[in-house]
Amino acid sequence: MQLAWLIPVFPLIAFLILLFFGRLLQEKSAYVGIAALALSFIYSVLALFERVGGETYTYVFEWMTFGETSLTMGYEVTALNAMMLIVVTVVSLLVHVFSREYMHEDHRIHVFYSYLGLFSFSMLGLVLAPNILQLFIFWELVGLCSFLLVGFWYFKPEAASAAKKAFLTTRIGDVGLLIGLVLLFNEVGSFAYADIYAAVENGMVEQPMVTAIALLVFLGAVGKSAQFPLHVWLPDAMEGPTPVSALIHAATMVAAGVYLVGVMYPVFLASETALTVVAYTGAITAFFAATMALVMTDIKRVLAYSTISQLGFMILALGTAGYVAGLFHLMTHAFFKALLFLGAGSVIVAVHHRQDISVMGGLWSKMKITSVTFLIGALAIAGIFPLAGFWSKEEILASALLNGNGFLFGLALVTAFMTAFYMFRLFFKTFTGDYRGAHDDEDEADGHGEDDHHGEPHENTGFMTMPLVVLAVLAVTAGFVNLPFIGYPLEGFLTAGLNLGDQPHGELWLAFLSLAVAAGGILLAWAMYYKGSISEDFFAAKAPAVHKLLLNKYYLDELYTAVFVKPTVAVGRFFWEMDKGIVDGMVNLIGRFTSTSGRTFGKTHNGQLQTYGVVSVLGGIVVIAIAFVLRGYFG
Amino acid sequence: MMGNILLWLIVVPLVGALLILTIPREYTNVIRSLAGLTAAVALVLSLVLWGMFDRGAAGMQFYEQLEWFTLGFMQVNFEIGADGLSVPLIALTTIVTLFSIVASFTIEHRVKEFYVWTLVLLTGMLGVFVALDMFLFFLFFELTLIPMFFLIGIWGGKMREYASFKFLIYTGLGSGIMFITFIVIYVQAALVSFPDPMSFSIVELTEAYTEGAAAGAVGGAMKGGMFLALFTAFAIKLPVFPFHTWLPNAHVEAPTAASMILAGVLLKMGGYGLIRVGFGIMPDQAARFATLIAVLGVINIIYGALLALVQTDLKALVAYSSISHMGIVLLGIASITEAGMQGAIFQLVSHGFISALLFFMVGAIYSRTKTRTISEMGGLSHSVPVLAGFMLAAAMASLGLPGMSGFVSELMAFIGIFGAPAEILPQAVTLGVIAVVGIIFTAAYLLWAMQRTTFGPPKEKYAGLVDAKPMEYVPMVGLLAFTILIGVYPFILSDVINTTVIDLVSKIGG
Repeated sequence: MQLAWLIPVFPLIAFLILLFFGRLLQEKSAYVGIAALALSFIYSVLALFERVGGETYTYVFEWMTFGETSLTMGYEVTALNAMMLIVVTVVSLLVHVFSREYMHEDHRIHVFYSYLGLFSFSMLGLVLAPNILQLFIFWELVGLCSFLLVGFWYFKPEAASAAKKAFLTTRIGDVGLLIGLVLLFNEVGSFAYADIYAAVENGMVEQPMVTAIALLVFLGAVGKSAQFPLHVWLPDAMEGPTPVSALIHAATMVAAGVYLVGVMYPVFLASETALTVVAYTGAITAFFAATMALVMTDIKRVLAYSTISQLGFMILALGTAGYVAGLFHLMTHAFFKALLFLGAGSVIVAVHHRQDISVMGGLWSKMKITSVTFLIGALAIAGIFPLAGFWSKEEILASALLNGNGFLFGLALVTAFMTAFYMFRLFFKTFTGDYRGAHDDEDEADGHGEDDHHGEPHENTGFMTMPLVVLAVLAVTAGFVNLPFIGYPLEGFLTAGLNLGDQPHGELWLAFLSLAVAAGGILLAWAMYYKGSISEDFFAAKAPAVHKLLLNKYYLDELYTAVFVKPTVAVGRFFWEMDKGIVDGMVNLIGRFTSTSGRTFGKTHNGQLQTYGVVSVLGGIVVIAIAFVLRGYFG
Repeated sequence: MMGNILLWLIVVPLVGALLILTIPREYTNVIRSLAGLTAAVALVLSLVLWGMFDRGAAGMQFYEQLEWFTLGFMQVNFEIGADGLSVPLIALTTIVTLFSIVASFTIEHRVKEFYVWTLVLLTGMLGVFVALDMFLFFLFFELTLIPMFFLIGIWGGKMREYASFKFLIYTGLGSGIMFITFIVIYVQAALVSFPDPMSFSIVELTEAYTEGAAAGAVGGAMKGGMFLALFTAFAIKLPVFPFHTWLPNAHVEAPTAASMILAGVLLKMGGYGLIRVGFGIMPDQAARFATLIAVLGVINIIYGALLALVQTDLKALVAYSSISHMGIVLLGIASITEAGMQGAIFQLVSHGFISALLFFMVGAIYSRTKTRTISEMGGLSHSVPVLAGFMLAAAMASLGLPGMSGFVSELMAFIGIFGAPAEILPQAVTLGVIAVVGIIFTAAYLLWAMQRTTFGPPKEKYAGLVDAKPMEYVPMVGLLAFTILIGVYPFILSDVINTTVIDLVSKIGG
């Protein structure tokens, strides 16, 4: 679509308006952002329809030139990014609406909306990019927005620290991506996807270079999509406002890593080694993050670990040739995870800005819309028929089983069980039982007004419930776009014109197995956290060491600090001492110059120009004199 | 007039300085306006030059040569010209100078002298970028030294005298080495061409050393020595490890405007000289010492970043970041590729804007908090949100955020180094990887600094601070705008540089 460039431009305009006039608009800033995203959404729908009709549009212009080479920028609409445009604009629009209520007490709401606009612009720009360099540019910009929004409450030291950690950790991955794309450019002579695909398919890029490039590019995805071992930033990023967690740290930006692997898929297909690494990284991350989600008590942290785990699922799918499965799950996950996060936001507002599930409970009767939609989200992510997660997760399991191996499949299955369990642990502890948050006067973490802490939890206004309802509908229906009974329409759409090989499909028994596993997880959670027939502390008591290990996130933060951060600073300090040593040596050497300088400047304080003239001539003579002294060494 | 626009560029600041000399010192506002006006005229001239410059033509444009004096058989000419390497740096010089003049409108101490020296400095800097005679080049190079010496020594901080003398002696030492090397280069060529006369013309010497008689006649050892001596001279200016220790002192003590010019323009003279004289006259030696230059570049990047990481003074942090960023210049030119050379020149321009902005921000914040100690700050986003916002933007530019100029230079330098010919730079990939990893450290020190200064709980003692004043918006918005302009659409710059770069690289490669 020729007008597709407008899709990112609307939120950019919103950003600029709010940057300059936000202070005047204050709460009305929300409507500027909402209007911009609504327009982007409409244009995205148009772009999708046109793309389904088979039309495509590419536009490029010369951006930079060196020697005979030109680098170009532009935009294009492909099947994959048409789907992404819908996902991003839908979630972003709903988050814009939700935040109108969620953030209305914050006097910097205009800043918040300007950042949201900048983020939407960057994310949409990333998606529309026709070349990997442009993707990288916007990739870094979404990272900037993530930094700004995680650190939105900059006065909280945890937020400031989390923002830095998010940026730095992802930058480690970005270094890999940058090297990868520079190497790729030197091989192919272009950053354009089309040229890269052609070169790789023609075997122009040979082994082991293609493997190196694929792995380096994947490192970027590992950082952005919070895969092990660079996942440590995402849970901390929960310090940002909850709508931000929903939009950036669940639905869109963190999925950019998955998108990157998708868009570079021909490069990965050219390297068996790279695909294997991708598959194992995904499976291990999925499992490993799920184990931590089992024990967290902060509602947002549970969801954060769940996000890491689900991203691991997508990466696993891509690593086992399940191109469509991975991207299909990206789409369904975006909807149900945004739903869960916004639901969590609704809960957090209702319980007076607390996030610990041990002070929640009993909300089912107090906030019906939030409860029901959250339940739908939980069922969807657990993979219950016929909700969206069921369809996409089943395809991932199929791909791990058919193209992977028993180990990968086993990990995925266990993870699916844990997913159902931790989600329903969260659900039961939050919404059922008795409300445990009354008469609790501690915990003022957010710095919100004192009057906030009184009163029973109650349902929020339409600004917050409407997005929940829309997302709940999508969490139910989004899976239908790739129904087996009607010939996997999404698959046909995404793979048309690309050589991506046959997509794996599971047999019926796999669907039943996956359902059974999910149901098992829910059942166990029900027994422990609703019925109480198994003690909540059952596992913690059985294996206290494991429980402690999980609570402490495998001590990875501590490990990284000890292994990377502290030695780097120590080396810096050492060099600095060395530097000062040289300086001190210099001090002695030129000590006599400085002692005379005091007098020189003392005289020049009279401000007589003649003195200046003399001094400057003297300075020149000093220079020449030194030159003569040293002549013997250099002549 | 437009025919000798380069001459006008050099003369205009001098005329401004002379005019200011005639004004009584009490009329500070007249002096300030006149200084600003002079710099603005120079800026307009440099933009006209930018517009008139023929992008497609290799070689010197706006060329002028006047006989100056003869000393025995030595012919010294007033020879000036501009190509794709100098035109962007001329524009950078006038822009940064104008903004530093605006930034120093708050100076009340000896206003008249301050602007006289600044305008003399402007002439010197522009002279360096247009001079095509080695003697003239040296003269202008020296002409920048003295004003900066006074700017630091009179208007600087507590240790200003120490810092200014250290600056003078260190860079003077570089000048001395440069001067002697120039003589040697000249004498070697003159001996070969004898009895034909030989001038100090860089253009003529370049020809003599690349295609002419001196190319074969001057021995490899001699050429190598000359190249290394030249490299050392310019390395002090850039500065290159281990000749960098003058820089942090000079910056910490210098007044804001002087820091802006020092980092924004003066350092670039080192890079410019290295490319113009070193690579221009002895391209074969550039290829020969490519590994050395690249290794030093990587050391600069990592060493500067690690030192910046542990600084306790915000201005010293920015100073060390300059050292780190100049490593990119070395890396780019050492790759001897079009991309790398393009990246080096981009970095000269880009770092000029970004470092000037960073130093301006540090100065603006210092003028309010009265401290540069990082641990004393904190919560500035609350106390002075606009300044903190620009500070953050400057930090983002400095860490190479795409959409800003620093990213383009880093990208080009990396494309260059990874694509460097193996016979010239056998360890290119290893060096490239280390250099790219350096950008993690860059992000680390900048973000950590931001976390400790602009983020964090608001401090009681900074409650009443005044946020950005109207006059402060001029340098902040201006410098940031140029950074973003180049970052978003680098073609406007690469278009000017490219032909010169192709020409330069073809001489080294071929």
